[in-house]
Amino acid sequence: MKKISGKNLIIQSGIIALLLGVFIFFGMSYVNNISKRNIGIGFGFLDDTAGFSISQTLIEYKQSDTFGRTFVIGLLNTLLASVIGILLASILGFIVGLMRMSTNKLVGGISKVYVELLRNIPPLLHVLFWYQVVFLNILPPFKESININNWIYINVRGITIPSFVPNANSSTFNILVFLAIIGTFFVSKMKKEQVLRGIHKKYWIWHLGIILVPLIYATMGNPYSMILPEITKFKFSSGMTLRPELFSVVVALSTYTSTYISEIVRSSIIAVPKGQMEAAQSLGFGPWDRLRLIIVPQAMRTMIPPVTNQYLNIIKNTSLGMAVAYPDLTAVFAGTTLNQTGRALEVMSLVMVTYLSISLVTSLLMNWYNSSIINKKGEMISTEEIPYDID
Amino acid sequence: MTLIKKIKKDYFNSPLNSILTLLVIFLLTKVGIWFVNWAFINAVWVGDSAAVATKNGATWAFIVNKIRFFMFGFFPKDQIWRIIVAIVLIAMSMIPYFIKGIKYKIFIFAGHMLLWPLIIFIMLSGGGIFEKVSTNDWGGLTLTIILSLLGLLYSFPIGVVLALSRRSELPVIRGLSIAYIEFFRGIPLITILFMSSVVVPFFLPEGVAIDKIVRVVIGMTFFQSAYLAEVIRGGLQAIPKGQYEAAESLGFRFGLQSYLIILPQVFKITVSNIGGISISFIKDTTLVLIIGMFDLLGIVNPLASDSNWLGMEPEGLIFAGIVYWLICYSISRITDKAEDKLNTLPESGDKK
Repeated sequence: MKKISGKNLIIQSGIIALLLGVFIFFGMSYVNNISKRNIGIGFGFLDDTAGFSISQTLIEYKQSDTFGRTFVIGLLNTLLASVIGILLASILGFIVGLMRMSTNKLVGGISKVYVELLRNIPPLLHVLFWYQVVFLNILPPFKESININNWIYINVRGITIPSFVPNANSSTFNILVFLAIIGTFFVSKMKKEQVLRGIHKKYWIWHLGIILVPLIYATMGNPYSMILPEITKFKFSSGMTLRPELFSVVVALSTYTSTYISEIVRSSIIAVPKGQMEAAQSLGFGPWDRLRLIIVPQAMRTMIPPVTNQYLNIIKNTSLGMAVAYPDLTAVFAGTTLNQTGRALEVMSLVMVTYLSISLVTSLLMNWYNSSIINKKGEMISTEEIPYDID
Repeated sequence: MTLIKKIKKDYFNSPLNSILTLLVIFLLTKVGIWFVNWAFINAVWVGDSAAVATKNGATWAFIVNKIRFFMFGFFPKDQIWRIIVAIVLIAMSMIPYFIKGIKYKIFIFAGHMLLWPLIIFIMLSGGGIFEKVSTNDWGGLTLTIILSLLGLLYSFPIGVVLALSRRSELPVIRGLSIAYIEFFRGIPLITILFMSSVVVPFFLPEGVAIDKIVRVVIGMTFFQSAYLAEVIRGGLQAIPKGQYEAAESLGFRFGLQSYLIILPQVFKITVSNIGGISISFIKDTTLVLIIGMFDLLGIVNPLASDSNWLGMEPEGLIFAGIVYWLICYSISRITDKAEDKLNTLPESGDKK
């Protein structure tokens, strides 16, 4: 620890003073400008009536709802696109990464072309391409909707699926589902510990039991009633519609990001020492088991930090949906709500803080997952660390 | 014989791989035939309106007709020579980098930071000498290049300063640079572009107006410098501790030590990462279309809504895609080559 010298102290206080000065200067001109235009300051506008409609809402929304509600709608749409995008990008990236390592040179070549072709094109162009060139052209017009058993309708306005309306006892059901998720988690953890101790028991009966409880309750207690989409002349009067904008954003981002994930997967697998593969081979593991049980778990620890970055990129890039009017947080809140209220600073700060928090939570979750599979020294958690209290 | 053996080894080494090979060949021929038909055989290259389009073919006539707009946006036709002169001037100003005898290339870089915006202002905007052209008419590939060049030019020094500050021993400087980097890395670029187009005007004192394009360049520079700082920090961490100690024992203070000893090595090992990040900056410039600027991607839709050329979005998007791909792919090739060439660091024992 160095001693704090007088010079350093002066430099640092100088920087702070300078920053404060800049803040005060711009803050004063902001207040000045705002008061001149009669816009007002503060977040009170969130309780005002929004008065505009949103094309895709995961929860109920009417024009008479508040601006605060439009924030929630936008956030949910952002999260929806992010979650689907992350899942698809992981699966695609994994497949392409493994293909790249195939002993078949043609398959390897194709995955290389896929990566080089897609990653050098701006993601926004991907989104526009899928929307304007693919989905708007291949989906049938409204009158010729593809009708699957009166449950699902597919047309140029999107896929309309039945919606679920909660009944009085829905909260009981929600609690049961929540408990089931936690239960599954604990059973898996228990199983893992038992396996590491060398005890192999059948746990599927536990899993089955945990899943069955909410399932039985759902069929007996009827917590949600399903409302089939009803088609009128020009629109659907009920049901939930997922717009083609969502699909363009999701498909574009997952294919684009999968090229990065595939490279990460490939380099992490290459980084696993060759002896591991040979050892697995000599122990008689088949090709699939070698990958699943020996190679991938070890590749995971180098994979997780860069993959987390890619996940964060997907979350941030869902804001590109704005170019095709996908009603995400940026389009709904930083777009329409900002225009209606004129509260530019308040709206933008809220949006930025929200994105920062989503990024932070994602990083924390991935770090937690990372620390659950490796120890502090960066090594895999192995059987040696489990105390042998059973002989 | 060896060829057959090689083919067998590479493509038919197991039943599964044989099936895969045949399947891939089948699919590739299908797609390939369709694509060749669409892009070449049925394609139309000459024509004055969308009426010349064939059913299963591309209408490249749209691109041929509108190439001026794709390249130069809505810049007045008789003034386009100014753009070309500006680009030539900028390209020529880069020559000193490649002359071996010149020392202190950092001053050339600093010169560019003053010179390039001046060239762009005088040649493109008019600058009092030529006929004034509003920045609203800038567009196409020209705008893409301007945004990329200026963004990279200014984010570089800021990125270096941020990276060095993040490793500083002074808590205020370190804390501020961490806050800056993490803030800009945590939010999407589009929110920054919104800030610079909607919010920033509120913060300017009365009577002061900054052109939108300048605000966008500043916003993008803020954003990009955070990413660049992380890349450079990665390089700084990879420099063996002995280099710092050797520089210190030779009496170099922090400034000279960084400039003469540390940073040159950092650039050598991070050149391909810097290339990668430059590529993402170029791809990111497309986002200006959301705030209503007509860069190479943003100009596709206005051009395709010309009543003579309705429904030409596919051709326009594919053309823009090809241009972006060529630019980004060549940068990645060049930096890969440069990395091989520059990788002269000795293998060191204490590198972590």
